[in-house]
Amino acid sequence: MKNIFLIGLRTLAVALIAFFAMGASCITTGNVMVVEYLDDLSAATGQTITSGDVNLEENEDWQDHKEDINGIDDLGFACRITNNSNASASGQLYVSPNDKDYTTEAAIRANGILVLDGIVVPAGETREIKWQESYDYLKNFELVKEVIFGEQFHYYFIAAETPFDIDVTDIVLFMSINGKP
Amino acid sequence: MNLKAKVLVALMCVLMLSTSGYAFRFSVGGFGGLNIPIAQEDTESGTAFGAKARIPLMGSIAIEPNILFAKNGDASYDVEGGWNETMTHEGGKYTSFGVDLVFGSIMGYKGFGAYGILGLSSSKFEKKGIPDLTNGTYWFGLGFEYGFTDQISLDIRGKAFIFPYKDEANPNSDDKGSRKNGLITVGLNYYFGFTE
Repeated sequence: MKNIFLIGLRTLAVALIAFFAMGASCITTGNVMVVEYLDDLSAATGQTITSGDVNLEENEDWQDHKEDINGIDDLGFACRITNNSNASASGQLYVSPNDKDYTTEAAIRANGILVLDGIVVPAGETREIKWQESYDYLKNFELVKEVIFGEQFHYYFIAAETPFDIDVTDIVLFMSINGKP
Repeated sequence: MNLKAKVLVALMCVLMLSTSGYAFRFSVGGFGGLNIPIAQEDTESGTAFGAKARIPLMGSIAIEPNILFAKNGDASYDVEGGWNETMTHEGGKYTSFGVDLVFGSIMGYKGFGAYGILGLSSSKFEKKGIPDLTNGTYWFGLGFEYGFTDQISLDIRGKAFIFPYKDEANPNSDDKGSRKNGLITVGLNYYFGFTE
């Protein structure tokens, strides 16, 4: 028993030395889920497109950990996309920083950061994308994180094909952040 | 941390762990068990398995090259709004190649033994939808071993590992974060070699 205690003590002592060598933040961090419920959107060809706005300063979980966030480990989405046109549509989600709000399809495609791409919705139907499935369509992970670290940003849903007419509802943003739990 | 400091730390570690004694017995073995996330809301417990070999260095110190495959279980979240359902997302998996420093009762004779474990490895973390991460990983823990004969033993180990990384996209912090997991495994070992 004494031997086991001594071995445990030695392990702990050496582990502590290694921990201090690594840096305190590396030891004390954990992963916390932050979930943001976003406003519904509608978009159609030929109409002015209104973006959705995200303000993470109003998200309690984000605010609780804001000072200690080391990184965003994971991003995911859920949403329901209804295709109101008589041709199939490939849904796309774009984001842009808070100081760049776009109102036309062309401007969004040219300047926005593509987040989700290729969500095919048949004509006249509604498709549900849940958290796990959203990873099949996720793009530009590193660029999107930079926008999110700005805390306020815009989001847009359009379709890859034109013309399109879509409604997007029940949009949820899932984030796993690494910081002090 | 500069090179001199790292060498000093390594030297201190070896001096703290070394004891006297002599024998030269190798072992090979396999293990399996549970991978338990520590302070991670985005994952659940999963499985782990791997293989290791033990090579004695001096006295009661040995090294163990090892390979590990560990999975995290799916994360779940009760989504509100228009959903009101629990959604899941895969927890990711680790592949690790490393070397553990093992000190204590390392010779694997018939009977009970215990040892401490400190290790370094190169680990890859893979999760659907996000870029793979490959980093140096730190390990520490304890092992308890029972030898049924002088050749065959069963061990139970508790090890924790720290997978550090830095999010380069974060403009607000230069600090590293980490994922931490605990492994509880049961292993079977076969010893060979010679004794004093």
